[in-house]
Amino acid sequence: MEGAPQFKLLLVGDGGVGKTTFVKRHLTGEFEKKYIATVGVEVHPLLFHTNRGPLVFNVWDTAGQEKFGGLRDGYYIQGNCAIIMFDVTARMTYKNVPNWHRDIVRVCETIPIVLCGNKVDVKDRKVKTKQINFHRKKNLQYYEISARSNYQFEKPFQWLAKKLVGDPNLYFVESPALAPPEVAIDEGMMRQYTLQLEEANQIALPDEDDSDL
Amino acid sequence: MTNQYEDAEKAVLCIYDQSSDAALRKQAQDYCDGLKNSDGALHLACGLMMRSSAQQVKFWCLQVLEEVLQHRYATLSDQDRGEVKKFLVSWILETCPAGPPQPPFLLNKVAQIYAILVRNDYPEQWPEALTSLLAALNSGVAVIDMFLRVQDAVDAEIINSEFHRSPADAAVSMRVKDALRVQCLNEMASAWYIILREFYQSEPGLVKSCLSSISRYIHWIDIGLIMNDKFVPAFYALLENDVFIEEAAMCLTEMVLKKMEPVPKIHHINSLINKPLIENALAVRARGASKSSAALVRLAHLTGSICKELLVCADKISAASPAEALQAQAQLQELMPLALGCAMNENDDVSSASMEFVTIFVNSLKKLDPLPEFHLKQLSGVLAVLLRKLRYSSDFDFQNPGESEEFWLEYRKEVLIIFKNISRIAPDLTVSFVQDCMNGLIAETTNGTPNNWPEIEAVLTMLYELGEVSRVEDACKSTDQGMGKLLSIVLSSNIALHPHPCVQKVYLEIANRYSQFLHKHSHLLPQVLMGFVQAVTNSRSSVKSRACYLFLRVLKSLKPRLGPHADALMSSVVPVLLDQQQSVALDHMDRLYLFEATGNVLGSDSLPLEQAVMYLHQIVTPILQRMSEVAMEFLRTSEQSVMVANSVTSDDVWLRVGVPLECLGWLSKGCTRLCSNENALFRQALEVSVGVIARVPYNMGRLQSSTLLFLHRMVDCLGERLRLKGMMMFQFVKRALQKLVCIILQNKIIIIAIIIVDVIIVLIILSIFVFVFFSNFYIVPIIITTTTTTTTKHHIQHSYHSCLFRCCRVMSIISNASHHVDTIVISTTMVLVIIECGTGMLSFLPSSIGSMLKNIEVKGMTEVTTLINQVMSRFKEDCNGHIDVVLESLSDRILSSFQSLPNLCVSNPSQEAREFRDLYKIWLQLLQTAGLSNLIDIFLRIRSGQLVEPVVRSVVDGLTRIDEPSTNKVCIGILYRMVQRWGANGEGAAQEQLTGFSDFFLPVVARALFSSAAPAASNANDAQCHAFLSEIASFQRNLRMAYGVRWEETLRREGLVGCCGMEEEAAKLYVWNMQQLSDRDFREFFIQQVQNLIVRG
Repeated sequence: MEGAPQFKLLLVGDGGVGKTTFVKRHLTGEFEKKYIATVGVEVHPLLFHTNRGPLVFNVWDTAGQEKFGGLRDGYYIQGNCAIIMFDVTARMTYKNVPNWHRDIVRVCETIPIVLCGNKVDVKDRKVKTKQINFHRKKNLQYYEISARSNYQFEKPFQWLAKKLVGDPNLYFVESPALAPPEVAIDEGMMRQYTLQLEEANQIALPDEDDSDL
Repeated sequence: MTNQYEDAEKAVLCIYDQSSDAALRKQAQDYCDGLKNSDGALHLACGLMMRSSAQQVKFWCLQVLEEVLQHRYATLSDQDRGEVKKFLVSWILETCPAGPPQPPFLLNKVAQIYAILVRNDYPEQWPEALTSLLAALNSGVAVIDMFLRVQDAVDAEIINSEFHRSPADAAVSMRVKDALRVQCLNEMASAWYIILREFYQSEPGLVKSCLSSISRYIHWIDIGLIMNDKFVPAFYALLENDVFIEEAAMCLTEMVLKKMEPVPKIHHINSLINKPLIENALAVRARGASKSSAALVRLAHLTGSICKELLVCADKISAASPAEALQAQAQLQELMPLALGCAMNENDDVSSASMEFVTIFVNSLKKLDPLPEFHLKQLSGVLAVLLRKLRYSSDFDFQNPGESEEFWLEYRKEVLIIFKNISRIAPDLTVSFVQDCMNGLIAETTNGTPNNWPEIEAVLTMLYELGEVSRVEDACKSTDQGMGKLLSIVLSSNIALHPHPCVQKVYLEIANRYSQFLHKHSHLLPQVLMGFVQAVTNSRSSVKSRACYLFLRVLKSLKPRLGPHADALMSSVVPVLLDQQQSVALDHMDRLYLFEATGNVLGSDSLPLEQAVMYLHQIVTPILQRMSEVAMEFLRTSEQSVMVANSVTSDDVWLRVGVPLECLGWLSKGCTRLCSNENALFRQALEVSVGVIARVPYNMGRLQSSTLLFLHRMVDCLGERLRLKGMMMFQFVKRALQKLVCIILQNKIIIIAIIIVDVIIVLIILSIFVFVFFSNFYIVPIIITTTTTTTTKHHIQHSYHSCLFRCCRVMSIISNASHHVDTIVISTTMVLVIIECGTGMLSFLPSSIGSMLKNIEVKGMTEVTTLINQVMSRFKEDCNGHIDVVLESLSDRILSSFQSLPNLCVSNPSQEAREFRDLYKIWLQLLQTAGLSNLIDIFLRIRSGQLVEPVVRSVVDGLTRIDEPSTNKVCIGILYRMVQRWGANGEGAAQEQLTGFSDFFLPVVARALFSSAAPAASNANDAQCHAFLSEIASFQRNLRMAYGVRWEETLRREGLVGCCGMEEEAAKLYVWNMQQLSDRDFREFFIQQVQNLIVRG
């Protein structure tokens, strides 16, 4: 891992959206993290092998922070990129995405950010793909993921890597070791979501904030 | 105090230091938190902010301020409040400009705190909040920068509706906006203009921030502040500069999107838009390299927004102010080419930015019928754009598609949705557009220009998509015009032979989608079928694989027409099926598709029977031959059969036995009747297969499923026609004996058991045991026995059947004794016996099959239930009296397993729960089949009806235990059938088939009805839920018909009042409604009631 370029990745989002589960899927990161555990925040060094060589995302998982304790947005200082995560089965977590985005941008201004809708394996989702349009307003990248089934685990990292390295043709040459999936993803359901997302992208952005969320 | 500053500084730095000791850091954190919560936090933070030079420490100080002002502001004294404001203003106006440049995160944090104070105190307690900054703007760039940041922070913290805010927040936002409007918006706008004008060259960063700040404010300020001859020309001037173009375009877009009444809006846009300037900006950027793509995206969004707004306005006032509407339409027509030009841009981000408008435009035309001529022209333009965007780029990486390929494919789907919408609005236009494109391309292809594949593929894809919207039957009418002509041109062309796989594949898809058309115009068939044959043997696996599947679909739908083409097809396909063409290696599934496809040719009515039989033998015989060889190989080594079989890998066995079995099974799918006629051939296959299966280890999942599939198929194909030869049964006996010997050696008690169970079995076993054991050439005598058996007279036939019966007894004993006997053996035995004896078999079904069930797991039970279900639906009432014992054992086993049922309605069920769920469903299916086949009375006979109650309960439980409306509906159907068969036929219960049936039936049902309907009622718009609710509503009325007042009373007492806690009066009203309302009204009433109950919890 020495010598590989390192990037500080901020992993934010409401409590319970699955940030820690997500980052712990990467087994080598999970193993290494013990040595640099910090107060109030856990840093997971996730190593990825790209066609341009290895690179490390030091993922700052801000889970478990009390509202007024810890460094809060102080941790964002010198962040190179970010993942904002919400839970598609809990509407409020999506409603709070703009706040997380604002907090990151206030400290880090223009860093690449990925929006991730987690728990898409759950059948009873509350935030429908059609309602997800924040990324389009802010030019973020959006991915649907399922941490428990490893669905699209690498996607956010790969997109961030492309942006950070500045090479649109960058790709991961080998898959990282991931914890085995706990649930099987229903491919049919995912195809349907993808289709819905495409249809949603067709719809013009509403002028006002969605009041019907 | 100094010490406290130093300690605090050290502590903060310690927290940030990743290398410091964790315990120490924790201590530092606690110390800092203590400071933060202390009374002196405010002064400490201000003081430390001025003293420290470390950025992290300053940030921490600002965090303390933020927290105090945000959450403890009410506790601060007026003096403290005044001091903190003074501190911030002086930091912005004096400290910051005087010192070195500060990092953005500090500046933004200061701005955020400033905005929090504005939220708390502006305008009443702090009227000079913004004017003090405005007044100081001339003191330098740093102050201007901070002023803009504060402005943005006010937007983010107070005004912007994007953030989730409470009603109280909305009131604050209104207060601040109103105060700004009254107090200083004019000054702010003037300041903006000065910034744009003065720093245009020297401080571009500042101008950019200023522009983006303006764009945030436009939507709520008086538009006159911006819509004037100062700002508008400035925006256009900045649009020409690469540095500012994005932000300038954003400002113009916001102005376009500004909310107004339609008529003033049209005038507003008219005076705002300067088409030549926008056109020029677009043209300049379009010529530039990829660097300007972000700018182009903004410009595309601008043009798209202009067109969209004009469209929406024209639409809104088309009736009230036609003159203005026309003006808007004219403007739109003038500007639309700009938007379409952007939509056509190669860069998909640019394209999609104005494609949004295209979507809305197309949707807006849906209500116009007929479409005016000028709209048709516009649509032609749109179609050209879509065709351009549907084209693959020539360097598209099909082998290793990356993210950009994926994104493009997704965008392409969006484009196709627009295309489909157009084809619905203007079908003729779309067809003639596709035809025009096609004509030129086919000519090119004939001339041998393979490089035009992206164009051909795109046009073909359009044609394919047309099949989804235009009715294929219309196309079938004629080949002289419209769709018919287009299709006949394409299908008769040699596009199928185009070298590019993409083109080949879409051609096949078209042939499949329009197979109805081919049905009508069969002269096109030879060309199309040869296209498929070519594709099936294609060297590219992607083409080959898709072709196999589509070939099956096409042949299935064209089955009646295939006779005349059989010769040509078979000569090409048979070698592929039999692996005689080494170059064509098919994947397993593809091979199966191809087998079924071939089956459809053989099963075609237009193919003479002799010919079909000949082809069938041509295919099946070599396969059987190979399988027989395998069987012989296993037979030769029978003494150590298990060991030998174990030394062969399970993959190997599967490949040599399982795969051919599956292939034959799939082949038979296409030509069930033919197989039934040619039963000798398939009987042989069955024998061979059993011979092999009896010799391989049980634990081979793949082989098991292959065999089960084959057996299911054979029950369909052969059914009662088949009389098995004895050979395979003796194979079975032999296998059973081997097993038995092992067990006997291990456990002597079994011998006693066997003797007790049936002395005759032992005799038979011993005789065959001796016979087999001392004969090295046992096959010969067996064949002799077989021959004799099949030619015997009735009484011998009878004893032969008895022998079969006893074989199964042996099997059952073995399975009792050994836990390794697997359902495959049981199932196979059963099917063999069933097939062997046809309906006559039923009396010989092993009475002790139930004991076999004791050892099997849930999955095994599911398999056996499936099989019995199949037998019941196949033989229907003929089963009556014969499967009682089987059903008894099976029901006992299943119902007892249900006693320990896990929760099946969880979102992520465990493996066990999934298996139970399958079992439950197949059990309900079996009961449904029993109901439909008039076999349900069997339950009356079993133990004089003792099973009825548990069976009924399992069905009622199914209503709540399985959360699938379709399955729940099945439950209701079964219950209804039970009432019909066992219940009363009129008022009262005197004539009940089963005495006392209604005594337990009615209360159980009454208690379950409402809770089972609740999940469906909360989703009543779903079609399946609705169907279930209708079913349950009419079931209640049917019960009323059958039991009259008795049911009404039970429902009221047990269900409505007892379970749902309904008031007595409401329950009476409910019952009254059940009597009086029409079916439809009662259904709605019932759904409403259940929903009310849900709300009440």
